[in-house]
Amino acid sequence: MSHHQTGPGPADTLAIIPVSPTKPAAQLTPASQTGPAASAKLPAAQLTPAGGPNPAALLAPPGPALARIRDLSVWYTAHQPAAVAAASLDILPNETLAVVGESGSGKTTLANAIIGLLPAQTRITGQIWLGQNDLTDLTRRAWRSFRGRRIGYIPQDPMLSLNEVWSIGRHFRQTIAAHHLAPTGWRQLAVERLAEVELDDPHRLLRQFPHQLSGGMRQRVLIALALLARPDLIIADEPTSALDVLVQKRVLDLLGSLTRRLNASLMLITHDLGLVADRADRVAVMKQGQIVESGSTGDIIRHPGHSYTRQLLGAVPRLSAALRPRTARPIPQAAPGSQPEAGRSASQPDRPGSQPDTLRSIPQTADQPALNITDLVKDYRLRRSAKSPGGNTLRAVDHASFTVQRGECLALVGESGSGKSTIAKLILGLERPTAGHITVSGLTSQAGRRPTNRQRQERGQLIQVVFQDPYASLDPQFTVARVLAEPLIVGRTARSSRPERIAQLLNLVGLPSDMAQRYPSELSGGQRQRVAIARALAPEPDVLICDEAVSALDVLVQAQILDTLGDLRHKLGLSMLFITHDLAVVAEIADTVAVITNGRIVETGPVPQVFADPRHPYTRQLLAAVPGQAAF
Amino acid sequence: MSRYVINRVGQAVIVILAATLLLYAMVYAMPGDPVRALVGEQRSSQLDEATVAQIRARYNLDRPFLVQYGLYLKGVLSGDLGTTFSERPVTEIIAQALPVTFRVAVLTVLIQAIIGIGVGLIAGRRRGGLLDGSVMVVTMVLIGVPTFVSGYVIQYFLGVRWGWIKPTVSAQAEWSELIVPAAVLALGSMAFLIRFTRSGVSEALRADHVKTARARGLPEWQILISHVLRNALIPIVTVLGTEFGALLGGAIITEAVFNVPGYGQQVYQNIIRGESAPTVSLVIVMVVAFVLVNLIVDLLYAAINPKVRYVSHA
Amino acid sequence: MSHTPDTSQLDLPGHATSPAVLLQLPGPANPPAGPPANPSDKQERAVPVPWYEPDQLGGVEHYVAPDSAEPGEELDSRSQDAPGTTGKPLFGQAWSRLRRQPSFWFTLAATSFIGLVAAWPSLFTSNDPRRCLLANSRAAMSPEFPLGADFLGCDILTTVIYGARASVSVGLLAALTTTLLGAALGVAAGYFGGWIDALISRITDTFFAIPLILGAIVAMQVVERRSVLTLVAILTVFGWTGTARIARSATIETGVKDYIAAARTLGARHSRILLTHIVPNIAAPVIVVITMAIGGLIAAEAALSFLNVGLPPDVPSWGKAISDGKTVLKVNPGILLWPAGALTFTVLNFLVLGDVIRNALGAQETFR
Repeated sequence: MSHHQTGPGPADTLAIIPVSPTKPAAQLTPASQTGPAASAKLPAAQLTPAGGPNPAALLAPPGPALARIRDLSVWYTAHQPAAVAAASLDILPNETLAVVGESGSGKTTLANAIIGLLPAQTRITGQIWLGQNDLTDLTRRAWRSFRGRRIGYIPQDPMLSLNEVWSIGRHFRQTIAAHHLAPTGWRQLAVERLAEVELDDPHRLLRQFPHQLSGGMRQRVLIALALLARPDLIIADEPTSALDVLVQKRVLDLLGSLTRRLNASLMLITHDLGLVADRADRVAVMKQGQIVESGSTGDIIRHPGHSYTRQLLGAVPRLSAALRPRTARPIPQAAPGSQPEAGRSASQPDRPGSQPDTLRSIPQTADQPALNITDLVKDYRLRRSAKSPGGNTLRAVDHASFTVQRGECLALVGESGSGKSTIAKLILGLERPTAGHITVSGLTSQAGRRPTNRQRQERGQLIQVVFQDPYASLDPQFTVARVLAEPLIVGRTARSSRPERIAQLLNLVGLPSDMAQRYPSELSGGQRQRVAIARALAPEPDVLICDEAVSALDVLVQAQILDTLGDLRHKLGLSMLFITHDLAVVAEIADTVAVITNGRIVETGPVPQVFADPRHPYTRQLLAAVPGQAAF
Repeated sequence: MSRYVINRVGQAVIVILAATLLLYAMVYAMPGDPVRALVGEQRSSQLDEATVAQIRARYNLDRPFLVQYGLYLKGVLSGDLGTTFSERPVTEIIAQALPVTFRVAVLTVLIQAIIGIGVGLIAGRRRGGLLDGSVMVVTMVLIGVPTFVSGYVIQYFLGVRWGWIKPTVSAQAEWSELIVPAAVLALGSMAFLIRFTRSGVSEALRADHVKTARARGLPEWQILISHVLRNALIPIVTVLGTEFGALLGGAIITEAVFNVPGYGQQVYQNIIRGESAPTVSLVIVMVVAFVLVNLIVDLLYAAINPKVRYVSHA
Repeated sequence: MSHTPDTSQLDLPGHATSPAVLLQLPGPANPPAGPPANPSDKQERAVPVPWYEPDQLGGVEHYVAPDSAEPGEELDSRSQDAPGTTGKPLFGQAWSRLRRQPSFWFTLAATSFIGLVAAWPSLFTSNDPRRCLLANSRAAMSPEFPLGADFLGCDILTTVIYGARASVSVGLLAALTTTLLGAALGVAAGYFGGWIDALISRITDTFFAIPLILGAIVAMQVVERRSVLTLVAILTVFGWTGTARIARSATIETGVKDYIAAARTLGARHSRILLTHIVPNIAAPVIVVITMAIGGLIAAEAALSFLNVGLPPDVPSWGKAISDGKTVLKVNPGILLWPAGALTFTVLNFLVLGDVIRNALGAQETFR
C-alpha cells in the first residue's frame, strides 16, 4: 500500500495521493471489482462507477438480508439539508457491517433511525425493513418489541450512558423485567451475562454504581445490557471512540466474538478506517448524508471506487510510515553518555531529583538541545478518602526525562491518565513541578518557585502550545485578528506593525488574510486549529508543543493539519514535542518517540527502531493494539 | 457515607456559629448605644439611669464583646432566648407558635412539591408547546408578585368580596383555615420549582443514559419516573433548600396578612412593638433552622445521588 | 458560510440521483427535495412488504455512487460546526435575537416609563404627596383624585407616582452594588482558587445562611438613620451571595478553557486575562442576574417598608402605602390595591426583561 505523503507542498491543496497507484479509479471495471462470477451474473454491473450507481449494488450478495434500508432520508429541520439522503443499504445475517464517515456525515442519524430514536420533530421518508416490519411505521407501543429485543444498541460514550443514580443491578433488573426474560429471578441471568462480557465478580458488580467502574467496564456492562434479549441486530455507535487503545481492542474483540456466537449482525458506526479494515465484513462509506460507496471491506480498501473513499483512505495515518526514512533534520548534539544504546533507552533508572536552587538563565547557544526535562516529578495531593484518611498523593509524573534536539520532533505517547499532558503543563509553566529541571533553549526553571510574570513571558517567547480542542482554544468573543494580536501585545510588538504580522501569520498556516475579521464560531474545526497554530507561532518560539493537537479532528482535516505542521517545522526550524495517544500519527510525524505509562517513561528511541523492535512490553502491547495494521 | 455526614454537620455548625455571631455583632457591637438599639429610639429617651443599668447588666453589655456573645450563646444552648418587655420568655412564645407554624409548613411543602414537580414534569416533557408556554407566563407572574400583594389580593377577593374563606385565621388555626395562607406562601417558590423541574426534566430527557434506556426497550413510564424525574430531582432538592430562606421571610408577611398565630406573626408583632432583643432572638432561631434545613437537603442530596455518597468529601 | 463545500450540490435534487430512480424499480421514486409537506406521504405507500423481490436482484457486491468530487477541495472545507451558528459572538447574536422580540421592546418601553416616573414625578401629577387634608380622607375617585384619596386624605395617584422614586432607586442601586460586590468576590474565588477561594466561599456560606429579609430586619432595627442609602447598604450586605456563587461557577467554567491556558503561556498578566477573557465571558449570566435582581430588590424594599423596617415614614414608598392601606382593605381596597399594582407591575417588568435577555443570551436558568 502506498504511504500517506507528508512531503512539502502548498498547504492549501490536499496532499493526498490516491491509494493503489497500480489501479487508478478511472480504470476500474466491473470485472476488476467483483470478479468474473459476479459480473457474469448481472449485466447491470457493466455500468462504470462514473456512469451512475450500480443498481444491484444496493444489495449485498445473494441470500436473505436481515434488514433492508431503502431510500431513507431524514431531516431534522425543514431548512437544513437532509442528514441522511436517500440511503439504501442491506444488513446481512451474521455479518459485521461498518458505516464509516466523518463527523456530520449522517452515520449516527442512520443508526438512530434504525433504532427509532430520532427526535420527535424529525421527518423521515423511505423504509427500514426488519423482516416483514417497516420500522419507520411503528407505533411507540410496537417499538417496544423491537428495541432491546430484536435490535440491541451500544452507545458511544459509556461514561454518560448508564444512569448514575442507579446501581448496575437496577439497570439489569429493569431491562430483564421489560422483556420478561427471567420470570423466576433476574439476578442469576444478570450474573451470567456479566460473566459473558468477562467482568469479574458479577455479584459485587450488581451492587456497584456506574461511577465506580472504569470506561471499559461500563462499556462491557452496556454490551451485556444490549445483548440481554439476544437481538439479531446490534448497532454500535462509535462504541470505543471514548476508550483508550488497549481497552478498545479488548472491547471490540469481545463484541466481535459475542455477535458471532449469537449469530447476530453487528452494525458498527465508526470514523476509524483502521477498525473497519480489521473488523468489518462489509463497509458503507457515508458523506454528507449519502452512502457514496458500499461493498466488501477488502474490496473497498484495495479498490476504492469513489474519490471520497480514496481521499479517506489516503488520509489514514499509517503505522507503516514509521519505517519510512525520516526526513532530514539538523544533527542533534549528542550528549555523550546520556543516550545509551545508540540513542535509545528502554527504561529509566530511578534517580532522585537533584535539589533545586534558583531559576537561572544560561545564554542561548545553538548547540543546546531545544528542550530538556530531567527527573521531572509531579505529585498531586488527593482529598482524604475513606481508604486513606490521612490524605494521599498521586504521582502523575514520575522521574521523567527526555530531550528534544533542535529541529527534532519528539512524540510523547501514552494513554489517558498516563501523565503526558501533565508534562506539557509543567513545561509550559501552567503547573509547578514537585521536583526536577526543565530547560527550554538554555532557560532552566526548577521546582518549588512560582514563576514571575516576567519569567512566564520569557518562557512564552521560547515555547508555545497548540491544544487539543479547537472549540475551547479560541476565545469565542475574539475575532481571529484579536486572537493573533494577543501574543503581539503581550510580547510588546509595536502597534503599527501588528496588522502586517497578523497577515503574515495567517499566510504561514495557510489561511486567507480575510479570515482575520471572523469569529471562531464562523470557522471549521481545522481552521480554528490553524488559528491556534498561528497564535502559537506569533512569538517565534523555538519549541512547539502539540498537546493532542490533531486528535479531535476528522481524518481528512487531521492529515491536512499534520502536513501543515510538518511544513512549518522545516520552514521555521521548529523543534516539536508532539503529545498524542495515536501511534499511527507518531509514525507519520515524529523522529523520536517516548512511551509513557503511569507517569513513567518506559521507552525512548528513534521512531523506526522503536516501532520495528519495541523492547518494553507496554510498548509492544500498544503497538499490537493499533487497529488497521494489516491493511495500512 | 458517615464521613460525609460528619463533614457536612461540622460545616453546618461552623456556619451557624459564624452567622449568629454576625447577627449578634450587628446589634451589640455596632457604633452607637446598644441600649437604644435594644429598646428603640422613643423608649430609650424615657428610661431612667437605673433601668439602663439594669438592661446593660442583663445583656452583659459591660463585658467584652466576645464574652457577651459567649454568654448569649450559653443562654441559647440552655434554652434562654431572653424575654420581652413584659418579661415573657421568648422560648414560651416559640413553643406556643410552633404547632401552628408546623401545620403551615406541612401544607406549604405539600402544595409546592405536588404542584411544582407535577406541573414542571408535564411542561418539561412537552417543551415548546402551548401548555409549556402558558406555564412559563403564569410562573413568571407568580414569581413577580410580592407575597404581601398576592396575600392581600387573595384575602380581599376570596375573603371579603366573595366570602369563600374567612379573611383571617382564628386563634385555633385549624388545618382547613391554613390552606389559603399556605398556598399564598407557597406561590413564589412553587413557581420556581415548576420552572426548575421543567428545565431539569427536558435536560434529562436529552441525556445519553435516557436514550440508551429507550434503546433497551424500557417502558415510557419507567423512563419518565425512574430515569428522567429521578435524575431531575437531584438539582431540585437543592433548590428546595435555598427556597426555604425565601419562605422564612414570606412566612412573616403571610402570617401578618392572614393573622395566623404562628412564628412569623410573633416576629411581626415584635418588630411592630419595637422589641429588638426578642426579634433578634427569633430571627437567629430562624437562621439556625435555615442552616439545618440546608444540612438535611445536602444529606438528602447525597442519599439520592450515589456519586456524592461515595466520592465527594468536599 | 463560505466554507460550505462545493460538494453540497450532492444534496440538490436532480443532481443527486437516487439509486432507486436509476433502477427504475417500483416504489417511492424521487429522493424528496425537502421534508414531505405532510405526513400523509407515509400512507400513500401502497406496498406493505419490501417493494422488490430479493431474488430478482443480488450479486454485485460493490456499489459506488456517482462521483462528482472535484480535485482539490477548499482547505478544511468540511465544517464541523453545529448547524445554526451565525458566527457573531455572544452579544452580537443576543442583540440580533432581542431586536426581533416584541416582549423585549415592550419591557424596554415599560422600563423607560418607570424610570421617567421615578426621575420626574412632577411630570405626571401636579399634587404634592405631602399635602394631605383629613377632610379628603378616603375620598372617592374624582377628577381631583383620579384614584381616590387614602385614609389621611392624600391623593392615591400622587402617592403611587412619588412612591416610584424610592422603590426604583433602592432597586437599581442595590442591584448594582450587590452585583459588583458579588461578581468581584465570585470572580476572585473562581479565578485564583486555593485559599482565596476557600476563604471567600466560607464567607459566602455564612452570609448565605442569613436570608435577605431576615438579615435586613435585624440590621434595620439598629441603624441610627434610616434612608435610601442605609437600606441599599443593608440589602447589599445580605444580598450579594447569589451573584457571587453564579460568578464563581461561571469563572471556573471559563478558567479551564484552553484559551486561558494559551494566554498564560504567552505570559499575559492576571489582570489582562481577567479583563479581556474572563469578564466578557462571564458577563452573560451576570447581566441576567443584575436585571432580575432589580425586581427582587424592589420587592424586598417594599416588604421591609411593609414590616415597618424599611424607609422612614416621611419617604413615600409603595411598601409603606400598602402597609397603610391594609387597615381599611375591607372598605377601601383601592388604597392598598393601587400601589400594590404599581409595585407588581414594576417587579414583573424587570423580571420579564431579565428573562428575555437570558433567553437571548442562551444563559441557564438560575434561582435566587
